[in-house]
Amino acid sequence: MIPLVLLWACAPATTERTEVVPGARGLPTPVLSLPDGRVLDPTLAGDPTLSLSATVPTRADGASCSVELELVGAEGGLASWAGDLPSADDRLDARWDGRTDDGARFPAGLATLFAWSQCDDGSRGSASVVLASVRLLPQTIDVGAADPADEVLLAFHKSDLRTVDPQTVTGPEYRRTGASSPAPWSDPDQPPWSVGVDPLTVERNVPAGLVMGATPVLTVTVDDAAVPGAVEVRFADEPWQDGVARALDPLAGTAGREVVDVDWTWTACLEGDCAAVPGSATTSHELYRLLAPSELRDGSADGYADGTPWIGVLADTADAVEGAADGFDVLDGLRDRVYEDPWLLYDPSDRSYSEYDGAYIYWESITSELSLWLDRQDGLSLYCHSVSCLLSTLGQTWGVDAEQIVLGVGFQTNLAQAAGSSSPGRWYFNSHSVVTLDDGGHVWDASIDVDGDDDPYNAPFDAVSPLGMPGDEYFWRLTYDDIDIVNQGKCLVR
Amino acid sequence: MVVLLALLSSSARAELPAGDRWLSTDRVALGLASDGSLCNETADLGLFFDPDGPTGPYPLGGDVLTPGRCFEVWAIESETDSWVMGAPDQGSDLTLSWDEPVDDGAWTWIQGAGGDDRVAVTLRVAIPHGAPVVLFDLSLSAVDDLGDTWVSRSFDPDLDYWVDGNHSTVNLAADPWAVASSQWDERSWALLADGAQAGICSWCAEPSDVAAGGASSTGDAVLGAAVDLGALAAGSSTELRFVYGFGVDAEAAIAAAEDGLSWEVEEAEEEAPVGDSGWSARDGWDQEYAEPDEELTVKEGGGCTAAAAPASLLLALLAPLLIHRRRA
Repeated sequence: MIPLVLLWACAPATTERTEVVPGARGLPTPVLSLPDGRVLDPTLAGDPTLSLSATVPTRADGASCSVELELVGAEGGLASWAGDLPSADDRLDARWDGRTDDGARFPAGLATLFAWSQCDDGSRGSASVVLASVRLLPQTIDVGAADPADEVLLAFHKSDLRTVDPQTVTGPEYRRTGASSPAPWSDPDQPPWSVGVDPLTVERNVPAGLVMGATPVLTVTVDDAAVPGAVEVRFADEPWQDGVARALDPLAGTAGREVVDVDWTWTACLEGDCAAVPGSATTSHELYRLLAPSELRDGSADGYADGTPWIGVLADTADAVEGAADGFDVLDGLRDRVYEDPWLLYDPSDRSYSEYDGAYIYWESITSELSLWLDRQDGLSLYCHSVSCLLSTLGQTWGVDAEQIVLGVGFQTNLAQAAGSSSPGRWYFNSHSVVTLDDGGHVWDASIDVDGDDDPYNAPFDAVSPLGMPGDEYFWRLTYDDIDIVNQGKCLVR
Repeated sequence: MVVLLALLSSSARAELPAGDRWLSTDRVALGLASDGSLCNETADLGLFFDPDGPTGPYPLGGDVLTPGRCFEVWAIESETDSWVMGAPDQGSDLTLSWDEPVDDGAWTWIQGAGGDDRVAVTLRVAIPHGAPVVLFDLSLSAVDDLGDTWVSRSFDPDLDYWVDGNHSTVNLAADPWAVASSQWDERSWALLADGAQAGICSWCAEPSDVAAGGASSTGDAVLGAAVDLGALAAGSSTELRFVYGFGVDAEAAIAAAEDGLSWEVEEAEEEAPVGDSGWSARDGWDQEYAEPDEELTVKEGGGCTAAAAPASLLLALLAPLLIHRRRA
C-alpha cells in the first residue's frame, strides 16, 4: 500500500491521464466532454442525467477506432457504454442517470469516468475524469420568520385516538430520513411520532405557524456525508451547508392556511468545473397564517394547557377564517362556524364542555374542555358559557384577544333562535355569555341568533347573527330587561 | 422484505398487563378483554372509530361499546359443546395469553393464543393505519373431534349514545354482512366474514342464535355474523377472518369491511438502500495488485498534488492502475 500512496502523492494535478502504446502511428487519445457538469444527484426530480460524450479526434490516418466508457464508483459501482467511432468526427454520446449497469444508484461519492480507445492499427489510448454522485435534499428544514416574533409554535393535542397529550412541535418542522421528501403530515391531532420516541429522530413534515404577512424563512441542515469534500455545492450563490437560510415571499396579510411548495436547485463545482446540478427538488410546507401570536391563556402552572395553539383547532377552523384580515373578521368566521356546526345543539341546561371554579356566574375561572369538544365525547349539547368559552378560545388560537363576558343577572330574552334549532323562542336566563374584543363594545354570540326587526320581543322573527354587533344594540335585541356585564375574562383550556 | 405476521411465534408469551391490551390508530381505538372480545375494563376502552379520518368533518364521538352493557362477543359452537368469549358481559370460556402490541407505522396488531382440552385458538387483531378497518384473524385447531363447528362474532352498537343517550341504531343484515348505523349522522359499523350468515338478534352470543337472527330493525339490538366451518376432526385446524368496517354511512362501512377481507397484514416495506450499487460483474478487478505494466507508459504532467486528499479521490487515482492490470 505504501508504494501506491507514494505514487498518488506525485500524481499530476490534472485528472486527465493518457496512456499510449509505444510504436503506434498515432495517439488515439479519447477526448471527453461533459456539458452538464460533473456532479449529479440521481434522487432529484426531473430524471436528471449527466451527458457524457467521447471522441477520438487524433488517430492514424484512416484508422477506425472504438471507445469504451467506464464509470467506476467508490464502492465499486460500474456503469459502462461502448461504441465504434470509424472517423475522427464520430462521437459516442451517453447519459448517466446515476445508476449502475445493474440499475442500482451510485452511492454518494466520487466516481471516475474512464475512456478507453482502441484502433484497428493496434494503437490504444485512454483518458479519465472524476465525477461526483451527491445527495442534495435538505436533511432538515426549520420554518421560521424573518422577524422571529412572527413565528408561532404549534402543538398536537393527542398521542393516539383517545389519549389527550399536548405536544409542542420544537425543532425543525421538516426532517427527512429517506431518499425522498416527506409530504406534509395530514393528521392534525396526532403527531407522526409515537409516545416515548424522540420527535427529532423521526421523519416528519409538520405544520408551522406564522403571523399573517410574515416573511417565511427556511433554514436547512444538510447531509455532510452525501457530498464529497472535493465537491463545492452552492445554493443561491451561498455555500450549501448547515444554516443556509432561504426567505420566501411574504405571506398574505390574512388569516388562513396554505401549503407552500419550495423549489430547490443547486450549482456545483468539481476541480474548478462548475455547472448547474441537473434536476431539482421540491419540498412542501403547510403553513398556518395567524392573526397574531397566540392569545390563549397559559394555564400550565395549574395543569391546564399552556397556551400553545393546537394544530387540530387550526385545521378544524382554517376554512372558516380564510381571508380574515382582522380580529372582527376572524371572530365572524368562527362564530358562524360554531353556530352552524351540525354537531352542536345549544341547550341552556347542559353544562358539558366547560367547568368553572367558584360561584356560578361569578366564577374565579372557567375552563373550556376543548379536546373533549373536538371529539364531541360529551355529546352535542352545551350551554352558553361553554359556547362562549369555545368561541373565545378558538379566536385566541388564531391570535385574537377575545374574552368571554357574562351577562346578567336574571332576565327574560326576546325572541332568539338557538344553534341547532329550527324555530325561535324566549327563555328565562339567569345569565348569558358572549364574546367580545372590547369589553362589550361589540359582541359575538354563537349560541343564538337574535331578532333583527324593530320589535325583537314579538313575531315575526327576523334572524340576525350577532357578529361584532354593537353591545348596546345586542343587549336590546337580547332582552328588554336591565342587564350588565357581571364577569369577564379568558377561559383556561383543557 | 415482506414478513407475514402469521409466522409470528405464539410461544414464550409473558403475561401482558391488562391495561396494555389495546390498539389505536388514527381511525380506530379498541380495548381487548383477555378472551379476545372487545371491552377492556382496565383501560376503560371498548371501541372508538373516526368515520371519515382525522381530516374529515365528522367528530370522533364517544365509545360505541361501553354505554350500558359492553357487549362484544365471539363464540365457537360445535355439535357437542360451545365456548363463549364475551367478557365482561358474557364471561370467558377461553382465556388467551397475549403478546405485546406492535405498531410498525403501517399496522398495529396484537396476538393471543389459548385453548382447553378440546380446542386451541390463535387470534390476531390488526388495524391498518389510515383505514377504518379491524381484522380478527382466527386460527382454530380441534384438539378433540368437534363435529360440525360454527364460529360467530356479535356486537351491541351504541353509535348515538354520545349524542343523545340513545342505544338504538338502524340495523341491517344480508349475508355475509351486518351493519348498524347512527340515527343522527349515519356513521356506520359493519361486520363481515367470508361465507357468513348474518343476523340481528337480542343479546345473542352463540352462532346458532346469530344465524337465526332477523334482517332489519331499528332499536337496541345485537348484530352478528356466523360462519359454518364444517366438521373438525381432532388434529385438524382452520382459519377465518372477521372484519369490522366503519364509515360515514352503511355503504361505506360495508365497503371498508369488504376491503378488509383481502388485506394482508404485512410489515412496512423498507425502501431499498440507495447506496447499494453493487460491484462490477467483471472478475475481481479491484482485487488485483497494481503492478508496473511494461507495455504501457503513463504520461505524467504537473507537480505533486496537495498532501491531503479524500480517500475516494485516492481510490479514483489508483483505479486506472488496477484496471490496466486487468486489461493487460
